Amino acid sequence: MRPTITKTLYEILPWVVPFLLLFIWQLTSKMGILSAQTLPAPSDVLIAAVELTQSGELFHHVWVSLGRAVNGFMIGGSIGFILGIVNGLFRTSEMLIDTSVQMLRNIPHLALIPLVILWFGIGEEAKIFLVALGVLFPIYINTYHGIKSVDSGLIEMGKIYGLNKVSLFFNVIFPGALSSILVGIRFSLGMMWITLIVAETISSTAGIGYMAMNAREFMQMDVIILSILLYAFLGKLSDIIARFLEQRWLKWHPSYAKQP
Amino acid sequence: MKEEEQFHIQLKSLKKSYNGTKVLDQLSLNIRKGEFVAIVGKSGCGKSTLLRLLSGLEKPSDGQILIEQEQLMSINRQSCMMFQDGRLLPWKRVLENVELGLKGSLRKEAMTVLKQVGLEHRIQEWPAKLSGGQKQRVALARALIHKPSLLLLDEPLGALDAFTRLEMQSLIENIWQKHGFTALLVTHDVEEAVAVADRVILLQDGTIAQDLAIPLPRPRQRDHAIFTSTVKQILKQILDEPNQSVPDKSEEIGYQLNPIPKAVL
Repeated sequence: MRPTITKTLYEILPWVVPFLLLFIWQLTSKMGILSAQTLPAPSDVLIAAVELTQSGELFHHVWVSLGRAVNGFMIGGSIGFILGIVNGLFRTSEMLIDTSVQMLRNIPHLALIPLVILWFGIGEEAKIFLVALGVLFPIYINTYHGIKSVDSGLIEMGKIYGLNKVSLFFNVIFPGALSSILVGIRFSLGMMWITLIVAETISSTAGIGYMAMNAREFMQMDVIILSILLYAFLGKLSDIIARFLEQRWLKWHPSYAKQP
Repeated sequence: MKEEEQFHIQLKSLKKSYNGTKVLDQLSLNIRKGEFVAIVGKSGCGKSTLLRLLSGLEKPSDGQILIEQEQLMSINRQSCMMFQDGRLLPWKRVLENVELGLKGSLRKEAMTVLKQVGLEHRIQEWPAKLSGGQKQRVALARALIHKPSLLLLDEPLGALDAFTRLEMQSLIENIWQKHGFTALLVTHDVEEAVAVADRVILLQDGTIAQDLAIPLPRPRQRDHAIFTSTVKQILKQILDEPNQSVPDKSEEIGYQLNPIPKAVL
């Protein structure tokens, strides 16, 4: 009996503070202590969400934002991943490219916004470019570092046991780098949303950022809060996906294994 | 049969140096087929280097390595190596680790060797869940499935506790007797060397300081008079040698190394 009670308690515990805050927020709003111009009540945000969902607007904006995020992530992620693998494996390309990438990495990619607008205009390309750029470096660095830090003893063992270069890569080097690569993916997923939030405020006709900027024009506080919550929700969602991948691919690792 | 043909390994004035530091110097040695040879010596005496040369991981600076009368040029395909740290792939289960480097799934063979090392009931376990001794059993099975004619053992029991070590020594001895491969064991444990090997070679400063045959019947009795006297004799030689290869830092750190009193030896 006891252990089950403790277990349930541990599952409930992390939710106590958020629910308490939500409750206080609702209460103070409805009592008029908290002005609706400062912060609308949670129930109002919920109503806005329901209304926007019914009109199909919410889904449309989320879909557009998600499309930008995924496109940017795929483009930047693949470039970072391939560069990381190649530079991790081959000395010549490492010498040729790594220093330059490390140099570019230190430029905050959001500082490029004026330049990006001049290059690509204010359309979709600019936003996708910024997301791709933000995602590229975390994935590159962690992939490169992961490959570099594979235990050389294991590589030696693989050679003695007759693995050729290809099977050495798939059996030893890549699995050895995977935990680091996943750290990069997780980090870049965070970067992806941050970049998108900023990029979508530049100028757009759709997307969560547009929804928030538009709501600001009309002082729709509930929609602004809803947009912020949407970003939080999508950020959390990508974190859950990353966590799921870790548990699936790193189940051999004692610190990632799912507790039975 | 010509005399040469009974030798599995012939080393001819082998030299190896790293950046001008000599590790092996004019080492000549013949090892017969099926012989169990133990190599002992202080750390830095070149014993691990010798194994790495024999596996083909490194090339000699000078001299020749002949494996069955043929010069070793690249990775030695008929040899397998066991390392001190096991070197299992942590992302592969026990069975997959054993099957590493083999074409196709050799389930039957893998089960046979895992049975020989007594791990047939843990084939689906992750290496992280195994004890040190069990990891080395898997490493041994992984070597055996390749049916090596030469097994190189680089201090495979060095990190194990005393009881597990004794268990593993007799396991290795039994498996060697059953398979009949040539075995080369590098160890810093003189008693272990005398317990399992036909021949104990003491390396000092990259050359052979002693080459002793151990004519005792197997399994060996550790309290046998010849056993204990052989261990003492080897230890005496190791400890009497003035320390040249490793710089003596005992004075710097204010610590006096007490040699074991002569009376005990």
